[in-house]
Amino acid sequence: MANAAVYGRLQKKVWEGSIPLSIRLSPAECRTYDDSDPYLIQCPRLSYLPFLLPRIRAFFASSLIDPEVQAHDGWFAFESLPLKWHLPVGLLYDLFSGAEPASSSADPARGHESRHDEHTGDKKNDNDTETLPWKLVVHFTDWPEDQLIKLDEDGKVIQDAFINGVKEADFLRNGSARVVMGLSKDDSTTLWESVEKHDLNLFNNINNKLLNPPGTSLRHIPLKVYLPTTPATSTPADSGPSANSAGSLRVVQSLVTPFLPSKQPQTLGTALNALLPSVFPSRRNPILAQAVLHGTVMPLAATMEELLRVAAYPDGFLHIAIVMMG
Amino acid sequence: MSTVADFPLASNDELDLAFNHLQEAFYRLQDVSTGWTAVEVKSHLGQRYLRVSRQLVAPDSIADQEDNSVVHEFEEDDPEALQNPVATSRVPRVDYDVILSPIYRVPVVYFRLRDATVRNENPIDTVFRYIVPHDHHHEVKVVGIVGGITMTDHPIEGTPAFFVHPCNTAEALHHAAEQTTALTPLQYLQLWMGIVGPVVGLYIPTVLALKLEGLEQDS
Repeated sequence: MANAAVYGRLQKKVWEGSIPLSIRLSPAECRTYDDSDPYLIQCPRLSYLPFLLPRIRAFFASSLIDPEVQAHDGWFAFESLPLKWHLPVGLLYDLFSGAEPASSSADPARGHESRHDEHTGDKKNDNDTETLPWKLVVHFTDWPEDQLIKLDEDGKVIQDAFINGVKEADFLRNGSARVVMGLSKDDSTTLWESVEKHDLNLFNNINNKLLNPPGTSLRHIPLKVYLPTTPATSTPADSGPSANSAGSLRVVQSLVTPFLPSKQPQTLGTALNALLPSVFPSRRNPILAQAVLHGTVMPLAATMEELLRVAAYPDGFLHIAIVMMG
Repeated sequence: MSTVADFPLASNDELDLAFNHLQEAFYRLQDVSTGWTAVEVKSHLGQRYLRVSRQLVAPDSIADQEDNSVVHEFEEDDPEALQNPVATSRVPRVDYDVILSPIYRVPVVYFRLRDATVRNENPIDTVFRYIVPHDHHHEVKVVGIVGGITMTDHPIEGTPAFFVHPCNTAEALHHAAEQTTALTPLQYLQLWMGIVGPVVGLYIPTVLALKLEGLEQDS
């Protein structure tokens, strides 16, 4: 297992990953219809879209038909699909942009660390010209309440969603959420600030307390796997809104231990094979689908514990997008 | 009937058994009024879960909860409702979905209000107005940042729903059971509902509880 310095360097690479966004105001809300300048920003992959809202609201102030709208009324869509604001920007891009993930031609059975080095940043391939900058539309009216949770003026809703994720990750790692519940109020405020400000040093000050509580060993790997799904087939009329629009997501979670019963380390391949055997029939080779993390196809031989140490999102989870092949 | 093997944690099979019992008992009651309008075991991609629907009534007529006419009286008093003449399909209701958390391995309740929203009202305020009994308001508000009840994406349908965060559920079940840890899946579900349910107004109606007792003795 590599040393802390290597982990630190790789984690820094992951934090440096970013995506150029080009955000237009919804024509229906714009005084000049579709003739407004886009708001351009290089956005960290680990960040959340609502962080941009105050600046975007200010940028479009003179274009808005309704000047009364507030920053927290804002929501984003890609090709008419409302984007879940509680998912990190990089994950949304990997799931919905249609961009080919970066991959390595190296033998997947070999060590994977060098590939982190090469590809954690965003990829440079022909496909980029089509998908980058990622073109989004911001709306400040007609919040899609059946699809997105409303934000609030004080930013409590998004903070709460983040902290729920942190608690869940803590519960998975340690078997209880006592560590995160035991953080001082200042520490938990700082943790959230570090995510808002995208400040890795500040983040690590607090996160290291969460990751290395004395006297505990890692029980489970916080892992969420995202599968874009096809529309649901039948929806009884009275069952209300259901996840049947294009861009529906199936989120798969299970208890993933760092080691297999055979004492071998759990790899991404063994974990995905156990979780989704029909999508990952092989533990070693991607046959039907690829596992994408931070824009990069992950080798199935990567061990889960090492991935967790270097490539977890700020909420403590490995959020992995599944991209079907062919 | 076998007991829950890994109490206070539950498995899909155990909950499935309890869900089916509850559904069966509910339908055996036929026309007996329970306050619940439907109990359904649903299934999605191999994951089974329980949906309980209940009509909602105004907070000040809770005492008359089982009298459906109260709903109409309330609607007539509601300035918003005046714009929409009362139709039976527009009676506000709540759908509770009870789903096993693969992480916490305890049941979690997700719920949605139907036809209860008042324009421009914050959804959580609607929940407090209709669902959370007054003596639980403080307890629900002090937990977490927003409160013990927050919104999240429904784990199966992927669309927004309220839920009660399950991080303390296993411990609460453990304490509540005291020495008795040999619970049948149905007793487990009832115990869970007794702990988590009250804050969101999810109680097993008395007539249904009696019916369940009869069923369990038969099996």
